[in-house]
Amino acid sequence: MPARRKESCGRFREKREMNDFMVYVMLHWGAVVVYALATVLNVYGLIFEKDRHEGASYYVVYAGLALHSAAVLYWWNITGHGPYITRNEVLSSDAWIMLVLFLAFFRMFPRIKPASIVVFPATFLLIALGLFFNPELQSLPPTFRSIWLVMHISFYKIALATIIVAVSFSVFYILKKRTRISWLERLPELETIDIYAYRFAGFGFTFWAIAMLAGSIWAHQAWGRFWGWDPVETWSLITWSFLGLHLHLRRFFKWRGERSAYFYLACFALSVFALFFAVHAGISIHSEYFK
Amino acid sequence: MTKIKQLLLSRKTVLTLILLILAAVVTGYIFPQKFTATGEQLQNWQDAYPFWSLWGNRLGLDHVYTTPWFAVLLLTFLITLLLSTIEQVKFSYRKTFSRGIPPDASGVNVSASREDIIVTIRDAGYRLAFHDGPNLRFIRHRWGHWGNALLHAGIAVVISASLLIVITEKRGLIHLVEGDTFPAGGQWLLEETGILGGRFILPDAVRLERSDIEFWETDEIKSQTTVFSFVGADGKEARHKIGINLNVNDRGLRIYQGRSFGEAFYVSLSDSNGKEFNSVFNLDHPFKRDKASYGNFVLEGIPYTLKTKYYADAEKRTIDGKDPLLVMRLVRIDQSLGGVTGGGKEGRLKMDIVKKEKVLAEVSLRAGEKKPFGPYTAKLVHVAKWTGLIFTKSTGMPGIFAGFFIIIIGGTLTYFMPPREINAVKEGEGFNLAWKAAKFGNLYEDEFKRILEMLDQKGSR
Repeated sequence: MPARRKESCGRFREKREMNDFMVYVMLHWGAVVVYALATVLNVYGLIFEKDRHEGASYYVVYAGLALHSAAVLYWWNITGHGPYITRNEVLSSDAWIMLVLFLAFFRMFPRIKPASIVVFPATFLLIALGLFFNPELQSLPPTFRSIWLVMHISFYKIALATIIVAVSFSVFYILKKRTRISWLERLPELETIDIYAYRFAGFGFTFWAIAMLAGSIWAHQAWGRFWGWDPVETWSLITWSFLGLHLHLRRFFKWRGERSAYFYLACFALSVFALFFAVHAGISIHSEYFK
Repeated sequence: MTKIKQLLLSRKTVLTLILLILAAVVTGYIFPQKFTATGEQLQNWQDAYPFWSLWGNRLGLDHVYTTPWFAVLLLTFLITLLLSTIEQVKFSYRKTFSRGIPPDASGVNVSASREDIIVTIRDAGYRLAFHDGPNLRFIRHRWGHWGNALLHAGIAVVISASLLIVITEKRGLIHLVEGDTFPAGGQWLLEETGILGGRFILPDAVRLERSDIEFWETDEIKSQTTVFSFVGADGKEARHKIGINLNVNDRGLRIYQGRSFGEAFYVSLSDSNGKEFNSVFNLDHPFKRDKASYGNFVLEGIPYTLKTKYYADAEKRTIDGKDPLLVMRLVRIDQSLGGVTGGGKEGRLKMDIVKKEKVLAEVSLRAGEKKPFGPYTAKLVHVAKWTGLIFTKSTGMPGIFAGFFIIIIGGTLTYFMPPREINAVKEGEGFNLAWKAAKFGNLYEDEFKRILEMLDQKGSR
């Protein structure tokens, strides 16, 4: 190919990539704005007991979800792989799965509705945070072409979503017990809040276990080693043990209510560390890909 | 025996074991572990924390997961888990298949007919599990009683399988250059075997036929495949192709693509007397086309260190390594004692060694080139590819798969299908309906209220 033509091809590709980035970022910012609007309506509706506003917030959040889904699919089409390689993709898909799961669970358990006060803002904050890590085009490493990896990542995302719902109810429990904030009266009675926190903590524990096991099966398939005690694996195991400890303390040692809620806050902090920060805690297979 | 069983099933024992395992894992994270840290890292850590390293050596804290005390801890935990699972299986069986109406069942009186009760409760998703004359017992999600048992059984299966793998596993890594052969019983570059593993000896020699790597435009790996052969003593060959996520099984051995790969540089140095020093330098493939990968080598008979770096492409235009450039430096390293510190209570002395390096010559070579190199003449005779191959022999992986699916089923039954039951006992003209949920009762109370409302509507018609 003549040098001049090669150069113009290169420029064309660069320009096309710039356009791709712009569309992706704009769609995401659009979703952030719509989600933020939904959050304002939702918080206003919940706190001031305005059912119309609260109801409207769901229509708005669905609009945001449509934009967000479009952004994720658009990028998927461009990169040729799912949203799990760069930090930006990971945070965006975490937010997407959390919101979708919340909306699905809300259909099954309508009483978890007030958790929207945590889930809605968490959704747009995660996307906005992701946008600070500039999106980049990264090819899919061949090791990542495995269904077990997709399961590994998807189940961690699902676990995070359920843990966020559980932690919302833990916070609600503490607030409702300790304060006299009027909108908290709209929440179910303390005992029910406690049970919701317990149930979603159970979901989190199970999904975390499934994610961890899918990861070890993937590692075995790729490198013939199912567990390597690298920092990410170790912290994941520590977190899972804490999640299990929480369930046991609750079930057998009557750690209910406030004590259980505080303990779960610690579990939540651990899970955030394990998912987002442990990768920086040392050199490992995980850090090679995600640092 | 019963007392031991009671002790192992005690909630406090289970809690203590979980806490001890957690403590062991955290310790394993804090103390550098032999199998993840380099010798230098271990030494640095020991120098920095002499007190802890003393305890570390005594308790084996630098290899927590292979210590006997950790194995005992895990085994005890496994036994408690198995015993607890057996108890839960018995409980689940009783709950699922028991007949009769619980004597303590008492609830709300309704004036509905037996048929109305059956139809209404069935419509709400319950199934008639038992009937004794007019008395009825309905259960929704009766298999949900097995959730906890399966969840615990799944975890027990995974731990058992992991223990089995750790104890019996054999694992060896080699780096092989295209055309080279690794003899059966040869020295592994890295070998890991479980307590019951024994020495890992391959049934036949292994020859590397070809290593193919493709790259994306971004210099990241697109695909990697390796062709190798098992070569028997009788000359019989069995050829295999492996790649990333593509492993093969041969006579119970599973062979994986190693993560390392690169180029082998066949270098010949000759001094003024015509004496030749031939060596092969295996260097990792660089990550980027404009970045080098590095390696230091010491050759027998040469009193200097050879510091080498290599670019995948001499012009730095591609990453494929078809026209590599090897840069070598001849370095003289002088070491002297810089000072001695320490002593005190622990009586440990620390000597600082000062290294001084002097570069005597540098040369850049493409394949086939020959150039002067300080007191020598250097020639890059040939460049070939090398790659890593991992051989494993282990038992227990199917257990991990099985545990995975049992946990999924257990989790689904526990958290998505908690069983609820309604006992209808004939009382006068109507029935007494008692409702209870095995778990999360508060969340399903409305379900029973709706049933009562429907029965009420039917009764008033």
